[in-house]
Order: sequence, then structure tokens, then C-alpha cells
Amino acid sequence: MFFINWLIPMFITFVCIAIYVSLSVVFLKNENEHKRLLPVRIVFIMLVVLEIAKIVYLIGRDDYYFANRFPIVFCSMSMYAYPVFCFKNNRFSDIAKGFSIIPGIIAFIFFAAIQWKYDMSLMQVHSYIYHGSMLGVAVYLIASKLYVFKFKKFYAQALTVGIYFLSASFISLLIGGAISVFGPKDPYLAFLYNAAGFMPGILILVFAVFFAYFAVYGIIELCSRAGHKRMLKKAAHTTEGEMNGND
Amino acid sequence: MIDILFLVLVMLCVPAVVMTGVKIYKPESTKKLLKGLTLAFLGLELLRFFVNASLYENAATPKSDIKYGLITVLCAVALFATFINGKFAKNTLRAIFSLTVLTPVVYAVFFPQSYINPLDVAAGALCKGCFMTECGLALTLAVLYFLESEDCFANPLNIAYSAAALVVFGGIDAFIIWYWNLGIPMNYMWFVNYAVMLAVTAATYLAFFIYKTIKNKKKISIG
Repeated sequence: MFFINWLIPMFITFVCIAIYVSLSVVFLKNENEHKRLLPVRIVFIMLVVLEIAKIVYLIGRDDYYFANRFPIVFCSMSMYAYPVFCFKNNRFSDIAKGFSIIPGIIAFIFFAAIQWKYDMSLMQVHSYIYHGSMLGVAVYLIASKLYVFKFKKFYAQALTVGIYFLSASFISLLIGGAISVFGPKDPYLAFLYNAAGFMPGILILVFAVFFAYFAVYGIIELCSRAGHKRMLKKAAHTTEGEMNGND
Repeated sequence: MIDILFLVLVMLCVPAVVMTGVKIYKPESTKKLLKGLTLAFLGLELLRFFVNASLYENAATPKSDIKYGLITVLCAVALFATFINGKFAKNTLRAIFSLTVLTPVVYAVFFPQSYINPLDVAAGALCKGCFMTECGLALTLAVLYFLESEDCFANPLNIAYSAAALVVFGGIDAFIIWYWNLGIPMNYMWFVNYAVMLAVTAATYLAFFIYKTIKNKKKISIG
């Protein structure tokens, strides 16, 4: 079961992501930023169509639309950032790019961690395409250098994600508290929400996200600085060697 | 216990987040930030009040579950300290606010029922979350006041002013407990609570004083 439900679809997903990223990077290498964002535009339109199809299909199948299926769950976060940067460049574009990367990657990890439990079905195929597309866009944005990680950027990122969390949790409270991850009835974070109540739990989650962003951007910054130093050392070494050779 | 832990965590995280932003963006003046934070403080206090009022069944007049408390008094002090330009507001009120900023937390530790009741647990514990964030915002304002006018804080008279303010707080608190039947026992623990508050106020003064001394020493050694 693990083989059919997890390994094969995961393998296909990763092959598709690799093809999507490499083709997009290679063919759009020398184009301007607007053209390089074409693959993201395509994914965005595909995701909107998939989301509408899912809602229509589930209402048809169950005769009812459950509150935990509203597309403001954690896995849908990245989707809302795409239109902010992929159609027209504006002052929020860079924040939106960053917003779509880390949540996209984490959504895929969460999704991949539990998929072995479920049998393959039409909805499962939909889920693999949905989460895989977001991971694909995140990898593409990093690989094509459309988004560059800089430590200073972490603050705006963490605040935006925190604001999204708070908004989603308020909407969740208003519609009955069942939105996945941001609802008081969510089974994954129930331990946090039951400890002192939902709002204190969400606040702790928001601050945890802030410090996680601080750590992730900090580690990336430190690694890139170390890499840069190593490159400079190497270059200095090569120049020294060439000069010695000339002598 | 978890409530107090979360309260302390949120209270420390709010200034950490705001001060990180100040450190990264280095604004020329913190005036706008102070105004924004004070308004956010007021907004949360009003939200807490109205959510409690709306949840209180058959509430013709606000009774036991309507939340006035030390945090409300601090909110009023913050409004005067931020928006009024006089010397008294800028120096004394800010010092009083900053030195008494931890009193609502001490009160919450001694009398958790002062901010946790069935209404706070309703609506996803929204009011509890608001109270925790308000404590964090108050601490942030205190730090910003201190950084803006460090010299005014050094005056030891500020401890006396803060002690006087605590007496006023105690009077307001006693009136609230009596008038709205809050169910908080007015026994010796209530007096111990205010004694601890006074000690915490003195400790806060000491913390500010030590910070200032270390900073001045550093300045001298660099100079």
C-alpha cells in the first residue's frame, strides 16, 4: 500500500517538478522578469481552476460543503501570493514571492508526511498536483533567482505570515472553528489550542512562526556569507598561484 | 499555570518583535510607532470590553464580568503619556507607566479570575488573547518610553510617584471589586499582592537603572 499510495505518486510528483523547474529555468534564462514569471502565472491559473473544480466536485459528492474545506487552510496560503507578483511588479511583489516559498515547501512536507494513510483516488491526485505545484513554484523562484534570501527580509515575511494566520483564525472562529490548522477544532494543533484557549494558542503559534523565520533566514544568511568567504578565498588563492606562475 | 506561562511568553514576545523591527528599519523617530502602539492598546481594550459585554447574558448594566482592571488604568495612562506634550506627561507619566507596567501581570498571577472567567473562554478565548497582547504592548510602550527619555527615568522620585500611583490603582481596584462584585477576596492576600507589585516596581526601576549605567559605561569606554 505504501508503494502505491506514497512512493509512486511522490516519485512522479518530483519528476514533474524537476522537469517544470529545469525547463523554465533553461528556456527563460535570458528573458526579463515579467516573462520569467510566466510559469508561475500558468500554475496560478491552474490552481484556481483546480480549487473551483474541487469545491464543485465535493459539493456534488457530499451534498454539503464542510467548513474545513474553505480555501484559507494552511496549504492554500501560497496561492494567494501568486497574483500579487506574477502579473505586475509592485512594492509588495518581493514580500509575496517570499510568502509563497516557505509556506509552499512546508505545506508539501505536511502533505507528504500523512499521505501514506490514504488510498489513491481522484481527490488524492488533485492533492498531489495542488501541493506539488506550490513546491514547484517555490523551487523555481529560488532556482531562477527571482527571489533572493536576505536576512533583513525575514521581518516583513514573518509579519505577513502572522497577519495571514490571525486573519484565517478569525474567519475560522466566525464560520464555526473548523478550518484546518487555523481552527480551534483542528486535530493537529489541538494540544496548543486546548492548553489555554484558541486565541492564546494562535498567538503562541504566530510568535513561533516569527522566531522560525528569524532562524531560517539567519541560517541561510550565515551559509551564504560562509560560501561567499570561501569563494573569495579560493579566488585569492587562484590569483596568487597565477602570479607565482608568471614569476 | 499554562495561562500564566502563555501570558509571560506573549508579553515578552510582543516587545521582542517590535524592537527587532526598530533595530532593522531604524526609524528616525519613534513618535508614530508610539502613537500606533497606544492606539492598538486602546483598540484591544475596547474589543475586550465589547466582546465581554456582548457575551454577558441579559446585561442591562455591566456587572461582574465586565473587565475594568489595572490594564484599563494603564491604557488610560498610556493615552495621556503618548498624546499629551507637557513636561509632566512626557517625564513623570511615562516613568510611572513604565515602572508599573508589570502590575497587571502580578495581579493576574495572584488573582487569575480577574481576567479569566467563563466569558474569556468563550469565543475562542478571544478576550484572554487580547489581555495577553495588551500586556505585551504595555511592556513595549514602557521600553520605548524608556529609550526615548532615559534621563528622566533616573530620578529616584519616580519610585515614590509610582508607589503613589499604586495606591490610586489599589483604590480603583477596591472600588471595582466592591461595585461590580468581582468575587476577588479582599483578604490579606490582596494586600500581599500590592506589596509584591511595589517590589516589582522597584525591581523594574533597578533594571532600567542598571541598563542605563552599563550603557553609559560603554559610551565612556568607546569615547
